[in-house]
Amino acid sequence: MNRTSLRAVRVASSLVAALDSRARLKRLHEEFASLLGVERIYVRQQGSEYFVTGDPNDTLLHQAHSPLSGRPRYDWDDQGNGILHGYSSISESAE
Amino acid sequence: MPSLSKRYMNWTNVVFTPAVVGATEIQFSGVTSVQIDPGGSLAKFSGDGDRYPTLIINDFNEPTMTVHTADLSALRQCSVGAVGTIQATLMDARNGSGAGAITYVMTNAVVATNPLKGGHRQFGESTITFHGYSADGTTNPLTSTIVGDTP
Repeated sequence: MNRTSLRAVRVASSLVAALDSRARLKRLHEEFASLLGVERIYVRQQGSEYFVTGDPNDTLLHQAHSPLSGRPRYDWDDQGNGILHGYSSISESAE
Repeated sequence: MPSLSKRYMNWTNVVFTPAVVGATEIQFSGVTSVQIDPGGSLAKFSGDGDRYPTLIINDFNEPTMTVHTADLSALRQCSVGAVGTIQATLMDARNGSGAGAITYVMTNAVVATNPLKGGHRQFGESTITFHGYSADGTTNPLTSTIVGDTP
């Protein structure tokens, strides 16, 4: 795995389910903004989890117009607690 | 710093940024309402002698953001089919756009409808609806964020 800096996080929604929307964003910001090295995190609801990055244009997969369309943009490292850390995949780095 | 009210009131920083090189962002003033809809739809299965669905799943989402504004000059810059990013900040009822506010951002937002109306003794108003598409077919184009240094 081409391990680069952390680029994205997936968080099981059950981990922050008890919080209202504002408190949930605050918790996710506190947990991941510095890890991702960004001033702001952007949070998307993806079914039963949240996809968190530092750019609202980030995507889970390569975009439809890319030759790598449909392939994951990140290598996911399962932390075992409902959180997955996403690092740039080899294909992402090569693109 | 005042504590968070956990209640929200009024919108600010409602901006559409066209995805065109060199395009300037379009700031909406006179915003009276913003509606954000994840746009989930359900698929229901039934068969045999079923009288009720035996399975209901959320199989598809078509998120939208709708802006009600009296800013008709901004409206004229938003033609149907224009693509860009729309964002709007929902203010904390006590702290305004500071602590407690939530900013919603929808990427790949396409202007879907932009009718305007004006009635007798009423302010002219437009309702602009943006539909969001996913760049990869999987990622939700609708995101939310907060300013970092808030309690």
